[in-house]
Amino acid sequence: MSLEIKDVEKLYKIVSTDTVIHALNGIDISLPAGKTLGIVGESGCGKSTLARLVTGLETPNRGGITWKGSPIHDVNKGSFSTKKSVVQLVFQDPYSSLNPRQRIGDAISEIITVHNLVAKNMVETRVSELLSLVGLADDLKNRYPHQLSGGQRQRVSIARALAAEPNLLVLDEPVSALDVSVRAEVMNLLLDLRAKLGLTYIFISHDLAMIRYISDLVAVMYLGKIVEFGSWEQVINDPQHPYTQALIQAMPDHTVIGNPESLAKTLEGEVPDPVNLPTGCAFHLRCVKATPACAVAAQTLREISSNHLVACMEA
Amino acid sequence: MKNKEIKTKGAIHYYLQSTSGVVGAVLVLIMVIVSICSIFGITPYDPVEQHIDNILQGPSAHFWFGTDDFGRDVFSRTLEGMRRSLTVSITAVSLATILGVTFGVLAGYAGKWFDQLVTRVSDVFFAFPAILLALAIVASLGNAWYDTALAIGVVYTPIFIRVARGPVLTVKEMDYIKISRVLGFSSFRILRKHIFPNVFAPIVVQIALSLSWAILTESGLSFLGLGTQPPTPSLGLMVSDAQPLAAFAWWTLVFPSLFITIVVVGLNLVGDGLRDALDPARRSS
Repeated sequence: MSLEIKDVEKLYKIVSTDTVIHALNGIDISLPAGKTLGIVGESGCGKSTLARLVTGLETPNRGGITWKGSPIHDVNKGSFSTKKSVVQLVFQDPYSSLNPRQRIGDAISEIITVHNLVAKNMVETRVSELLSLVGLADDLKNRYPHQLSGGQRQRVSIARALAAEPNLLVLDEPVSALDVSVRAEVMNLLLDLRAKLGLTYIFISHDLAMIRYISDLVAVMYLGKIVEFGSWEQVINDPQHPYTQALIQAMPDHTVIGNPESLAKTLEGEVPDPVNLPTGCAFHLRCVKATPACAVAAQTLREISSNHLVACMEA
Repeated sequence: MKNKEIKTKGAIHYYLQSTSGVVGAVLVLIMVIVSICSIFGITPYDPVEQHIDNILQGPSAHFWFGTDDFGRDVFSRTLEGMRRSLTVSITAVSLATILGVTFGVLAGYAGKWFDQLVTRVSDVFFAFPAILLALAIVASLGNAWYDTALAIGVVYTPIFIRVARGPVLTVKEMDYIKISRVLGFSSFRILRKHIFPNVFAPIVVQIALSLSWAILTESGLSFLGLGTQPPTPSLGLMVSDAQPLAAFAWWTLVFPSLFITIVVVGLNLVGDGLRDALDPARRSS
């Protein structure tokens, strides 16, 4: 196991209303090196909070995150040091993830020169190498971000992350903002890079189709907790948790689009307020299989078959 | 280095396409050149020399802008006054820019108690009308030109704090700043390379506008008797002195007023031109 997330809890205190938001409520994940973990869930379930914790942008209130036994570098501490992180990050929005006043080549070479990753006279060569690695023409070096398309920008973001020579890449909805036609190209690029560089990915998405395409392991999150965890075959082909089942049913199926009788069944209601967590199972208010017991007993992940964990007493 | 050259060239190129920018730059340039003349004494007469037998003469070949009630050459005095106004205004705005941008950027980036402190203090300064606060400072400091410059600089600092802090609050939430931190860049590098270039444009525009306001404030202070002291000329002081004469010697009032107007309008037009040249969204159209 290489990435170990142990019992991580993250709370946000809101001073003005004196309340606490429970963003993550005890997350345990073990991810072997070279594998891809897909994290799926609705807006507000804590996916992006988890991404910020794994990249060290924020620290958990409880629990710990380690890579090969050593804690993740906290970017807030020792921010004046030039220690690079083993974890790098690609964000969803290709428009806000590049500095509009920095040329593409400079954005990539900056990380190389700041951390002295290659000899000074090799920096240019390394930048060209990275650009070709992500499938971009070398002359883009001298362009500004606004001269690039969304897909090109996202490739630049990936090249910049790779310039830091990370082991683990956190991809926070990396294709959600892209045109559907460009999505497949970027997804294939990610698969290529994983094979070439032996990277480990955490791929965050609300799109199960993308998760299925790239993931070895899938974690389904609901209200700051993992409710189902297993290989993608187990989770997507044989979902056990009622929430996972609802998510899969909500996927539009191209064979039935236009046929109103087979419209996907959607989840009723809203995600509960993370300030006042429901008692018992967090999902019981929206669950079709809920019993009175669900409102009382909190559910923990249990293994229902080999490495397939579900947090539901009905499963 | 090469990058910087291309970037600057780009901004100048767009600046020259804006009519108001070019007109403003020409007006300001003329004013700067004539005021430089007065530094080297290339004025027709000594600005404080009194031509007793030529009191209150209208504009003529000898005295282009006429003479005042002491027989002093209004043209020479106007040039000298312009130089003093520009000196005070440039010194004041430089001070306000350095202080305001430093505190504004740091407050916006650091947040928390430091931001609270800086914002509250500048709110207190904002609560006073600019001219009143400048008056109070000048009254307690003295009448030298650098006292006036210091007073105007202090009064304008909160404006620069606001202009710098606001965009920093927006920019620091951008994903590229978060990524810079994950990439392990120092706070200093993030401020210098990633935040400052993106908040730079409004500050430059603010400098151009503040220069023109500072000229008006300096004129106002001199007009009220607290800036430059006679017989040294200043545009504001000349307007003040000319008031009782205006009815029968219009030239003593009109020419210094005209110079104030030209330089203020010129600097405002420069501000407009810079705004257009530095804003990529306006450029692309």
